[in-house]
Amino acid sequence: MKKSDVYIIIPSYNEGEELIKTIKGLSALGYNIVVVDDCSTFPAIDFINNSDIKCHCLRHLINLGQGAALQTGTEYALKNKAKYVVHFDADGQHPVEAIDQALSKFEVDENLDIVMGSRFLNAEHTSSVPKKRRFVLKVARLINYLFTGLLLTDAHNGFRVISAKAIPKLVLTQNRMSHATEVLNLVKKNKLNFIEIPIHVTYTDYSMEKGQSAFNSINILFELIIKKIIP
Amino acid sequence: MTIVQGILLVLIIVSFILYLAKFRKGFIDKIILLMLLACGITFIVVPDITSAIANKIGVGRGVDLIFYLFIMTSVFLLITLYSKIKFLEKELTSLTRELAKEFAKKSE
Repeated sequence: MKKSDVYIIIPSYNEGEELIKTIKGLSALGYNIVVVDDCSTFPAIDFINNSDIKCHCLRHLINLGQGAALQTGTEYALKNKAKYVVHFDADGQHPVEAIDQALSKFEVDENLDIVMGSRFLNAEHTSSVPKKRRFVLKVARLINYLFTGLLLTDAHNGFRVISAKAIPKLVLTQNRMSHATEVLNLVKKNKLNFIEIPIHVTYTDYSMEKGQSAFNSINILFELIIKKIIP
Repeated sequence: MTIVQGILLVLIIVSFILYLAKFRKGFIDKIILLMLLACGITFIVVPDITSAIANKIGVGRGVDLIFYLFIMTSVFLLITLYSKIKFLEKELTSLTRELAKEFAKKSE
């Protein structure tokens, strides 16, 4: 695969310094970087133009949510003939090394459709996840299993790498945070080939403060149930 | 209440639920609303009808009957409204997405 075949999609909402740091960390890889600015108060493009980084920047004129931003970025990548699309967080939680790890899985198995990250495949990674988050995720994992029939080790991981041919079968219609569950639903419904790889997620005070609260999982559960009744 | 009434009632309720969940059509929604309007007008003009119906199906009073019908009508309206909102959300997302892709920038 060529470097230009890979597009990294970074949804961003009100991320400034962290976003720039993340992009700088990724630039050494040489892949295309697409920032989708989900109507941040201060447009991401301003931060980007003030720094010495190269990337594409799209902007949602109204705030739609992380799922929607990922879908927008993914469609843009496909328009630019991407062969692999990476979903990557803006706040520095995701490890850069995981991208090449995931891409190598595609070289080995050409029928692979999607690689998903998991914080719980490895004891060391697991222990770095804060306890409360771990508990909520264990419950989420069971709920995901109830809704999707797939029991993964990590119910709600935003890190994924998808091959271009699988993307038409992985269209995200849930705009906000339930995209993780929607991905699982689609993987199951379309019988996509997937594997999980262990990744180490870095929780910093910044990302914890900004990240989802445990209560947001109730929102997600609610959205899932409603979607079952009123598609 | 006779068995036939019971079966008819169950049939109507089940088809109502099925309709809400699967076969929604704007045209039929309007017909349902018109029927509900007709009921409402009838109850106002001939209030004794409510007691008669209520007694037949075993509900307390005419007022109770109206109450239940009101609840069902409200639920129906809320569901139609919610669906419309969801549809609008989809359209907004589509628009925003096309604009974002169309005016994509590269860093400089």
